[in-house]
Amino acid sequence: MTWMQRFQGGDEASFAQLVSHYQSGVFHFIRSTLRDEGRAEDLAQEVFLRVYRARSRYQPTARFKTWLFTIANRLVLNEIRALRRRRRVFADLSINEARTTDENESSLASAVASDDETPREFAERKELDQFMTELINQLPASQRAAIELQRTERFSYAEIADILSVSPMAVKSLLVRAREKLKVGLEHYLSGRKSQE
Amino acid sequence: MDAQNECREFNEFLVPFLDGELSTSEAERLELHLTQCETCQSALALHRQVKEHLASSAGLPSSIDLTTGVRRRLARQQVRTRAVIALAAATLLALGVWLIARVTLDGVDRPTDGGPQVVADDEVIENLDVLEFLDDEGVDLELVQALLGELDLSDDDTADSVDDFWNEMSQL
Repeated sequence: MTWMQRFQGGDEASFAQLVSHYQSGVFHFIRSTLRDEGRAEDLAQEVFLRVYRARSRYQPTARFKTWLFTIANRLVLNEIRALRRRRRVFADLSINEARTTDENESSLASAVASDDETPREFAERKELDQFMTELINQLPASQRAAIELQRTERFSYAEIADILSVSPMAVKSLLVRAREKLKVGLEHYLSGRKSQE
Repeated sequence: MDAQNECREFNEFLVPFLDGELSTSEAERLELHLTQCETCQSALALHRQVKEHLASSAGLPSSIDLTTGVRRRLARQQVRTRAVIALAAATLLALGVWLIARVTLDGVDRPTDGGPQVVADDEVIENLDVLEFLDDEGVDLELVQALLGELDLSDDDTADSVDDFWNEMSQL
C-alpha cells in the first residue's frame, strides 16, 4: 500500500512521509522550470496542500508520482501565465529578474573534483556545467519542463505526456528540439575550446 | 531516399534512440544507418554527451524542507474553514430567532396608526429566553442583532422570502 493510500485511509503520518519523500523532486522541478527560487518553495508547498485536499478524490489508477507532478506542472503553468500577464502590464520589467543566482546547483559529485581529475580538468568541467545550465535556462518553459522531468525523475515519454497533458509524440518533439539546441550549443562550445588550445 | 535526406530523417530519432524509446525494429534500422554514416555517428556522439551531462548535473537539492510550511498552511486553512462554518451557523441561528419572533408576533394586533407596536409580556419573555439561550451557547448576539436590523420586518417581500427559505429548509 502506498503512502497516499494509507493517507486516504486516515493515516495522517503517511502524508508527512509523502511530503518528506517527494519534496525535493517537486521543488527542483518547479524551480528549474520557473527559475524563481522564492516562488518555487511556495508553489511546491501548494502542490502538497492540493494533494491533502484531494485525498478523497484521488484514485490510484495512475502512478502517484505522475499525478503529483501533473499538479506541479499545472501550478507552474498558471504561474507562468500570471507572470506573462504582469510582464505585459509592466512592459519594462522582465521575467528574467526573477532568476536566482542559485540556478547552477548541481549534484555534489559535480561540485568537487574527483580523484582522477586534474585541477584544470575540474575547472573545465565546471565551466562546461555553467555553459550547459545557461543553455538549458534559455529553452522555452515547456522544453525545460520535459527535460527536467526526464533527467531528474527519469519519467518515460508516456509519463511526461500525462504530466504535461500532451501526446507522447509532442513530448518526443519537445525533447528532440531541446536536446538539438543543447547539442548545437555544446558543439560550438567544444570547437571554441579547441581553437583556444 | 538519398543519403542526405536519410540523415535528416534519422537525425530526428537519435534522441529517442538514446532514451530507449524506439521499438526494437526501429532501433535496429537506425543502428544499420549509423554503421554507414559518419555524420550521424558524430551527431549521436554529441547527443550522448548532452545526455550524460544532463544526467550528471541532475542532482536534487537536499536542504529543502517543506514540511513545516505545509503544516503551517494547513493549520491556517483549517482555522479559516472553522470560522466560515461558525459564521454560517450564526447566520442560520439569527434567521431562526427572527422567524420565531415573527411567528410569535403574528397573533398580536398591530396598530394601524403608526403608533408603537404592542407585544404581550409573555411573548417578550419568550423572545428574551431565546436570546439568553443563544448567549449561553456562545453565539455573538451583536451579530444576531446586526442581522435582524438588516431585515425590514414590515416589508411583505422580505417576509415572503424568509418564509420561502424556511420552507425549503424544512424540506431538506
